[in-house]
Amino acid sequence: MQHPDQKYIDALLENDKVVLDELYKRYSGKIKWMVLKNNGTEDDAADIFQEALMSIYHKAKFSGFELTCPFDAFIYMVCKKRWLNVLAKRKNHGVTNIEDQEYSLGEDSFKLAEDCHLQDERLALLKSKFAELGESCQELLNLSWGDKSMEEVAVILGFTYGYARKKKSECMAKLTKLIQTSPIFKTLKW
Amino acid sequence: MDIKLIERIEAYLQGDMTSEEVKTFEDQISFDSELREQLMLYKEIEFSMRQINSIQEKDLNETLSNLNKKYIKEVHLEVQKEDTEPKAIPRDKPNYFRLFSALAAIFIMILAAYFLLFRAADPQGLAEKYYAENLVELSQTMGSTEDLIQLGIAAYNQKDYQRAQVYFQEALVQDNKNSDAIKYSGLAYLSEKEYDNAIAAFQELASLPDLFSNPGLFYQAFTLMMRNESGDLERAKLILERVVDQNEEGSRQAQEWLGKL
Repeated sequence: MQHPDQKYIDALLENDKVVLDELYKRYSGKIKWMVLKNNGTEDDAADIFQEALMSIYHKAKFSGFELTCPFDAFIYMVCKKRWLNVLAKRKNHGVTNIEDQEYSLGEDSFKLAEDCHLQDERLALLKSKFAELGESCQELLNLSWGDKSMEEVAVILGFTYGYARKKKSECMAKLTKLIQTSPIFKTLKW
Repeated sequence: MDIKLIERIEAYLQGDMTSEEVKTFEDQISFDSELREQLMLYKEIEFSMRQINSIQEKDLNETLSNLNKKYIKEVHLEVQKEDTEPKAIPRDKPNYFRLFSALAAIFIMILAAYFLLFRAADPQGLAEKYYAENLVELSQTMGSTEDLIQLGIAAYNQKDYQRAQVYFQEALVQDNKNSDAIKYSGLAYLSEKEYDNAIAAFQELASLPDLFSNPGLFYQAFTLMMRNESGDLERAKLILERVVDQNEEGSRQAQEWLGKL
């Protein structure tokens, strides 16, 4: 059953500044203190909170998102996971475990947080593999993912429409191959 | 994924297939899990990269960045601003400047005397006096289950408000309806001059039902007086009137302030 806090997900989708202000007012403090308490700074907290919200936005935009638990427990879980990843990457051996909290979460809610995490990881892999493509592929794909039609992309690049389509297919084939041959590909549940 | 397959997926997604080709493709998707996965991968790449490039996402990122500055980096920025903004010291026009300064000082003194003698008391001054007399040091609570609160109060009394906040937030994570934790968290925010966060905490406190004594409304008004921005005094007065009418905690002080404001 949809939770009343679903309004925060809708606010992200609609960039509703009033409700997002309320979201920050209510929830950013707890995340800030969780990060500060665990070797982070205010800038870290701001990054973590913003990235977590963007990750929820991506999930909601791509495959829909029905919140089944209070937003505070959910955002805490998402941020905590992200912050542990950051600490692990910084090889900060001082903190490897943030004390678990006593939020009561259903199984669905854990799955939602895990889905967000997987979506983040997939996006990170996608960006890193995109950066490995040659410049011409990057330029063509970027143009095609912008607000231009393939006809316009072809004109900008001085190609025929047919060649632009063929070239895009080639670039996408390269990109998907790079992604699929990554050692972590199968763990990300595409 | 080979190019032929990519071309088929693109033709399918862009509606370039005949109805017969669509049916064949969809039949194949229904039993070929590998093809289904390839289609999903292609769709996710296209969707994600379009999103990253979209104006909508950039706008949302901008909104969130602004809120980050307001709620998470607020204090930090104010400090930086104070440190980096050059002070205006006029050097080229000493005579006019001094004359103007002297006149302004006399005017301010007359104005101050007028306000002191004939006008309402300064709300910020009243609030600061109340803070100095009642909230610089908090009383320890009793009970062994409130360890986090006690640690928070100890840190607060040492003026280590950030550490105090950590304890209060920790207590709130364990029980998000802990009225003491909400109250003290609000006071710690207030002590750090994070007024928006303090008001949010006191609003949350005021909304808690079934408390024997709830200072949430009183502290909201008190915080508005401390902040003293445009419109804050009017809002504070309305809230103080509610405190008195409903005989909430702080009603005696509220009545006294209302008489002076």
